Amino acid sequence: MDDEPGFDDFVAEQTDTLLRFGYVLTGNPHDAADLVQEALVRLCGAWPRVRHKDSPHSYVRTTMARLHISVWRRRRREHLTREPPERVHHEVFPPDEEQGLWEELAALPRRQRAVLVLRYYEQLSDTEIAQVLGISPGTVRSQAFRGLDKLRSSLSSSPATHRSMR
Amino acid sequence: MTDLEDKLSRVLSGAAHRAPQAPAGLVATVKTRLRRRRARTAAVRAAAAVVLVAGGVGAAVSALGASAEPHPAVSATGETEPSADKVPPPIEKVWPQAVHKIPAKLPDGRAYYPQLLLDEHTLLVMTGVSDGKRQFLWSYDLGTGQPRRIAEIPPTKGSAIFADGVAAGGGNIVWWASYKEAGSPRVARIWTVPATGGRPRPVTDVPLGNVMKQGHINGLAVTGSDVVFAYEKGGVYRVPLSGGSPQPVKGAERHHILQWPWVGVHRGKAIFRELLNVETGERRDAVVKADEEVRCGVDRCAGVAVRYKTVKVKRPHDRSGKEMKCGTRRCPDTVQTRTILRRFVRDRDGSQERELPSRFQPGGEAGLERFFKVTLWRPGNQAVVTLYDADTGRSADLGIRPDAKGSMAIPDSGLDRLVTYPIKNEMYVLDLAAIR
Repeated sequence: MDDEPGFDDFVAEQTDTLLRFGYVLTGNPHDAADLVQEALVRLCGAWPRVRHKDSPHSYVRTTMARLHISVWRRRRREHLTREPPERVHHEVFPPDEEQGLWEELAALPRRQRAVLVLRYYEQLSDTEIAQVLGISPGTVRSQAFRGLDKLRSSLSSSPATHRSMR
Repeated sequence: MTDLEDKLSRVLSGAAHRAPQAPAGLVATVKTRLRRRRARTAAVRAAAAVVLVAGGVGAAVSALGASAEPHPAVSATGETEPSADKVPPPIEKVWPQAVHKIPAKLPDGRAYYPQLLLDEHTLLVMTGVSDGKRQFLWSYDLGTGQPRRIAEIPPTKGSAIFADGVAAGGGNIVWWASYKEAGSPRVARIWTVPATGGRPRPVTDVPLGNVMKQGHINGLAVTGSDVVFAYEKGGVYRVPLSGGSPQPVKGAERHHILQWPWVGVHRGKAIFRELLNVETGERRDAVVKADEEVRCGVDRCAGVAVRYKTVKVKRPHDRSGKEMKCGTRRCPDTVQTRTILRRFVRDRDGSQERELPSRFQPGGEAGLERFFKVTLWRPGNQAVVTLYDADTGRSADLGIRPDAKGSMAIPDSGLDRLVTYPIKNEMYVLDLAAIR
């Protein structure tokens, strides 16, 4: 394992980027760190194969996204964090409406959130997202649609933005 | 981009700045965990399944939090030489009668996604959106490999609405798609078309109301002259195929559809623990012990027994030494670890328990409450996806290997007899019901 050139450099260069991706994917710093560490363990195991191919970064990103939406992990996490989320204070994230959106993201099913994060944070195409998540492009589109749909309807049902939605 | 999409982009990029910083010693931690994972004696498995259960998409991940310190439950383990799993023979050798191979592309060159078996030699498939705006249903004769176009899925105005929940019964195919017309609330429109082909016809519009509260719909099934479905949050409804408004199914107001006429509710970590047959009124509660996490079918439950342990961790700090927050709260100073003690499948009444392979991951059900997907590891950390038969203990290599980019197909399966996956230019179609 120590004779795998490039892995240490990759970790040094990419970890912050991966943690940011993990954070927007999970919404929680603990989960983000957990996910990055697990994905790096797998990357390390696959390093001789992956480093010669196009992108270790996309390998890790794919691993993180898939792990995060896997069914049993999801149920476990939900169990561990069942208490209702506290309302978030304004100093963390000044514009009210954007803070609201961040909170509503937490209420989305993980697969829907993952699709939205890959699309609007990582700026991937639906075909690329389909490859990352191992689902069909049709499912990507329907998940993205439903995710946006939920965000839209929950934002429109909150009094502050009610008038602007139809 | 719409206003919402634009906002979403902004919110996500903004939030990324609040991500945690990389912990010191991450490389060393990662390598230690990988070494331990590769060490696989029985003693190590029992003591440290929390780090050894990885592999496949459904892997459990230990909650190490942001701390880079080795985990107490992990550090006690010994290390041995890595050993590779024994890979079973290919499925064509083990269960040749279950394997069908058809071209992975339609005659027009488009890719498709298998949906279900209309009968033992007819596969229903749907085209995807990646290569063409118009969507079609096709069927494949598995004997001759001949495809036949059944219908075009009616296109929808504007946004990315896609047919979902394809189901069939009594010679009819059904699916639903979400619709929103200006001035009226969003609905899930259920469609039907004869399996022999024809022009699809809307059955009914199911009000979606507040999708955050009730979710969309799922569990579509054709039963006699009716379509049944459930809201994602629970609540089973029935509507005649000929049309009309959906009526709640009595006694199933909070239920999800397992396999019609069986509907059920989940209890904690026991999925479909309580079942109700809405035709006969029969009830079936599964026997589940306190430390077990299971997913139940009509006759059996499969899952794992686990032990959670709460251990102390250091709260995460950023580079300036300032403590980081979890959302707006202080991060917990303890995390739970999860150790898998047993993997099993057994009858709902708790009898006939059989052990599942050590590489089994929760969520690995492949169909008929009898088959399981198990990912094995060959030397060089190469994953091999196998199918395990809990009735006979036999297993088979599905033949899936990483492609040039290192990504692997994931076999698509549900509760039913169908498992499908593409290899190169062929679609492998497994009919589990053909395995005696």
